[in-house]
Amino acid sequence: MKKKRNRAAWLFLAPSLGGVLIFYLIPFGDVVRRSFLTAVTGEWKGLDNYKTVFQNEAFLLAAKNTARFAICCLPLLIGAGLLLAVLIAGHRRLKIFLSAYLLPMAIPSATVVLVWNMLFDRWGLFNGFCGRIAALAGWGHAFETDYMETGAAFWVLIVSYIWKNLGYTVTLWLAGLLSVPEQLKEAAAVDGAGRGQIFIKIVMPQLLPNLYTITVLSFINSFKVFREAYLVAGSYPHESIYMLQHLFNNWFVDLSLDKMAAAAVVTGAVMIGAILLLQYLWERDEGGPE
Amino acid sequence: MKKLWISKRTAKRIRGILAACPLAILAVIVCLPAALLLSGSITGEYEMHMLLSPLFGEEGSFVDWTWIPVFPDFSQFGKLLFASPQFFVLFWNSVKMVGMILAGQLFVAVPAAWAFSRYRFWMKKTLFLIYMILMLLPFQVMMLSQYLVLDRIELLNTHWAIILPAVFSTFPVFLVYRSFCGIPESLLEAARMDGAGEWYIFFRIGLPIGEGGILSALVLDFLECWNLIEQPLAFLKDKSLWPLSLYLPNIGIDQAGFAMAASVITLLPALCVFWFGQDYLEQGIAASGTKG
Amino acid sequence: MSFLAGKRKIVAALAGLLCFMLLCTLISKSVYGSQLPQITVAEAQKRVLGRSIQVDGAVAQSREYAVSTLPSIRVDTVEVGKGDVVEEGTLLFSLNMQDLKEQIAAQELAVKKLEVQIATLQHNQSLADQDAVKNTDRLLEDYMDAAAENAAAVDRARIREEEADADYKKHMEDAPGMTDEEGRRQARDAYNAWVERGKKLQAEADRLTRALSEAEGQVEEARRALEAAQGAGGQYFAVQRMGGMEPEAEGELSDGEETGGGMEVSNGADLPENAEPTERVEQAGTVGASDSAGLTEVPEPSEDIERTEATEPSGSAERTEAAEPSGSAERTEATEPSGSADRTEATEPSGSTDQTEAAESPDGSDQTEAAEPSEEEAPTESPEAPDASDGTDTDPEVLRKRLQEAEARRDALAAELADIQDKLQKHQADSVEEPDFSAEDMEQKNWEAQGETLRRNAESAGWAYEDALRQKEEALKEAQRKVDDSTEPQTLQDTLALNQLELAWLREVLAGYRKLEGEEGKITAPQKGVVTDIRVSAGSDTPDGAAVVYADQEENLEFRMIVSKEDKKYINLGSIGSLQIGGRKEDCAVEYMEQQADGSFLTLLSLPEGMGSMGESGTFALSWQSQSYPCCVLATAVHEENHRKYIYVVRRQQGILGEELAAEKRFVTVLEEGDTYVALEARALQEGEEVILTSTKTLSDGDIVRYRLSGTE
Repeated sequence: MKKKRNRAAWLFLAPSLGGVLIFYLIPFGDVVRRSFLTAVTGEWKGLDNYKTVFQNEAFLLAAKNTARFAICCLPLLIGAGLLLAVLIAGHRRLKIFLSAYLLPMAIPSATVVLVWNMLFDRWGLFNGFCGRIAALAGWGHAFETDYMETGAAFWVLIVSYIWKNLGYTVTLWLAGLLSVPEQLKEAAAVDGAGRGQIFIKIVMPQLLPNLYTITVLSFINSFKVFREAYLVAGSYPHESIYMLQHLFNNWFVDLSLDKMAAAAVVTGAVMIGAILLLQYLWERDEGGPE
Repeated sequence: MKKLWISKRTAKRIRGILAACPLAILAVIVCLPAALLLSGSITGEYEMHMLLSPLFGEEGSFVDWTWIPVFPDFSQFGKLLFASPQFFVLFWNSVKMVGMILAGQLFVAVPAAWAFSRYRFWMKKTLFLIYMILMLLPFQVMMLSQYLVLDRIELLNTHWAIILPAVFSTFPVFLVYRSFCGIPESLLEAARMDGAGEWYIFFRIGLPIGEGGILSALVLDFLECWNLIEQPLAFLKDKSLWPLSLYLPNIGIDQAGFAMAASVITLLPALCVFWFGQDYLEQGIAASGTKG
Repeated sequence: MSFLAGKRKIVAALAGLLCFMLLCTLISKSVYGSQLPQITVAEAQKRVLGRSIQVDGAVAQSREYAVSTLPSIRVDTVEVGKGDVVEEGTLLFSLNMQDLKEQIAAQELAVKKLEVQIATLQHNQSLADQDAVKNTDRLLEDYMDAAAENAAAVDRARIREEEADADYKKHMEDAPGMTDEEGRRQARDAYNAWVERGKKLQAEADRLTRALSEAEGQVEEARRALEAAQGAGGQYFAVQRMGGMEPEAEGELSDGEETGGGMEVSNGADLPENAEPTERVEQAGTVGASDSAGLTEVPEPSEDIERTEATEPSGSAERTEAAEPSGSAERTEATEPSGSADRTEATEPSGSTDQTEAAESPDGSDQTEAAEPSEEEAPTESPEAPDASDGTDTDPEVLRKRLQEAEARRDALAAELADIQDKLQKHQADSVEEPDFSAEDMEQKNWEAQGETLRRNAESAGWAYEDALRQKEEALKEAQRKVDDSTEPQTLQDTLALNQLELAWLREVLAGYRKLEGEEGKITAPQKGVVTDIRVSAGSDTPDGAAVVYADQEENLEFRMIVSKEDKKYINLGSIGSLQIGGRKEDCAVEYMEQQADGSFLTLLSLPEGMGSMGESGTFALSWQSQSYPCCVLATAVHEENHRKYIYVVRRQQGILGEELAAEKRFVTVLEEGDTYVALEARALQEGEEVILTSTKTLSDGDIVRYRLSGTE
């Protein structure tokens, strides 16, 4: 039986595996291979590329920015999502708002860029609006930065990210919240637990798998911010939003393929590490893939 | 007692209203850009230019926005819909690509997810790990190598160059996997007892139950593919093969009204899909949320 | 699928959307296509450009005749007007006879006047000639004189210069001898050495003299003592002597003590110390000889010291023994008070002399050396002393001995002194003169001064020579100029010639007047023609030039036209084109072209026989072909903007809709323009590129266009 099942499993897996192999694994293997060679001539260079990469300022900057972004945005998004989900969960009626939050996800990136330019320009709507209000309070000059040209660009990216992904995050949290069996909650309430306690002790643990999913998805999405950054600021944006993808792109254009490959492998390794970590953390709690 | 009872309900009501306020405000803020788009798309060219003039270098004034333009002008839509065949070429390109991708993913990713979630086999964990990693890597990492591979298979500059890699993307596998995980094994065992083959189990039991998850995955994938930018830029040389998502970046801000109209139209299919799939988004995750 | 059921609405909406999109696709395509400019195109061709030029003109007279007469005669009547046809002999205008007559008279007078003038001039001329000759001779003489004089001056100056130079040279060669530095230094050194030597000798001599005198003194003293002792009794001394002879120095002392209280030390001390002085002196003498300067003083003080030492302790003894109160007393007195004084003197001067005569440092040491050995010797001498010290003072033998010794000493000294003095004398005799180079120097200075003077002389002589030369040149130049001036052409002769010419001319004019008179002032036309211009009017004077101008009517006509600057390219001298006048058409060639102020050209063609009459208008047509150009397009394809010409070229490009055509604006340079075609530079269009000829809409650069069948143009 098992054998049959196993064979079936392989059959099920086959198409996907085949494609993945061709379109992802082989290219990645190639990348790994390239990370040990020079860009154009293909001579063996050993770990030189890695050394270069680790010493490369741009790489360090990009890595730092990417990490910084992830560290900033993930907790913000997940936390805000949870908060909103909790608010909505209490009252069914409030679900209509969810549709509103989901809207930004549908808006194409190019459009987002257009709106950005209008909002976050030095003379954009955001400055205009807030500036007018602030002027009433006497802080007229607080809103005069050109966001895309300064370090504030980073925060613009974060805002954009949260704006886009909030809806989905809330949805996910909400689903998780709602799936907590009522009985458990009621039982705890009967036992005399307060709402807060219920939440922390009962609901939260149930949500852990959701957290895992949400974290992974949000993490994936955080990379997609590159698109907006690229469309607005081009290949060489302000240094606070210079991300790994910018770097790769530029290296690609420059044909510095060796550096690119090495950096890719490094990135891959980091991802592997992150995933393993996550896996480990979760596998303790649930059993992971069987 | 009576008092308490009323107050509990009203309390809930009050709480509800209290909760609703910030949510509402947030909703408005979130929807602002979309509103901006809409109103901009019916603003006439002249007015648009006036409103956006600060962006073009005229210092001292801020971009102002009249939410309802003084002279509503649908000509941008007209121009877009009736006089720009380019838009439609790209539109159908996108439709074709996305349709094929989704179909492909259905046939490829879903069984794979099923395999991962329900069976144990050699190297499963490792494979799954690999899948996860591939999911996380940004496109640029493998850009060149994929380019070379595609070139070798001579698929460059065709739609297949976009479709195939996307079909085999591991992201939907992950999403669907989570929803499949929620199916109790007992059901399957029972079916097996009844003599059902694996295929049958998959088709008749797994799929229906995992419907929500599959659809949510498809919805997400749709959004992703509808907005592809990097892959087409890298792999498609002929402009006539481009997807719709590349149309907008080519419009400069001096044609802001037109760009906005284009954005609105581009938005519509995505909105429809969303509207369609909103429930499934929740459903799919709900399933995955309960167990494993 | 089950899930679709619940979402019918949405599915319907989506389907509806897609249908809508489809519709719009079709609509937009057609709309888009319809609003595109439609164009016709053509490729560049290789062609020859043709142009046909037409210029309008008119027939005009080619030849004009002028009728003129003598000027400034009043006109009576004018018979013809412009455009009148005249025949040969037709009266044109007539002159006023009165006026004519007056003019004749005036003219005759002028002639006469001139004749007289000429005669006068001729006479003056001959006079002037004679003077001129005289003048020239005189000036030539002056010139010769000046030349001779100046030459002499120059010679003199030159000689003087040469002499001065020679003198100077000779002088410079004749330098006085001068000892050079080395020689001088040597001489000086020698002299100094001599002086030093002399000084030394002198000092030595002085010292010796002093020593001698002292020795003398001692001799004296000894003699006196002897005499005294001899006088005082000999036995006593003899006894004393015997007793005192045995013991040693110390014994002496003790004996001395025993024998004579207060004598002891002195005895012992006395003699050795007396003996010492000799030794001392000798030693001092030897020491002194080596370094006279330093030690001449030294022995003195040491002697003094000795003496004082000798005398001090023995002061009393001597006194007692010497028993010459006066002498010894003198001595003691002399010495004792002076003892300390001497001593101090001795020490001090020695010290001070030591210091003053710092040249030789070992003075002090010498002194100490001197002092020491003396002191050392003192005890050593003392063993010998007993010979003399025992009861010595009163022993005549001893005294005699002492006397002898003293004398011996003195003699020795004297001998030395003599010797030194000899040396000194020799030295003096052998004198080295003090080198005195002052005379030499003086001589040198004089010589140099002289030399300087001579040099200056030579210099000034040279300048004088140059001056003389220059002067000569100038003088000659001046004289030459004068000579030249005098031979300038004579103006008188020219004036004469002129006048004669004038006379001839006046006569001619007069003849002309006379002729007119003969004709009664009537001017007629010489031949048939038509009057084109009349430049006289009744009552006014005849002009200087033509009075009446007329032209041939039928013959000698030409076709006159203005060719514009642009057309000039095609019409040149000799170009043949067809000329049409009236109904007649003939081929004619361009004969003459002249550029006018505005850039156009006045062009003339000669008419063939019998063609055209004056005033008729006609057209000259020329068709012209250029060379073959490889790149020609229709003229309609070329547009102009800001004085630059451009064309639109079809460019194929890839757009979203596939291959599309765009209009590319391209600036070109036009090489030549024909009537229908225009030649562009070869690189304006590539092979196969199409130029847009027409378009349904105005084009701008980059517009998308589409083709149209050229049949529907």
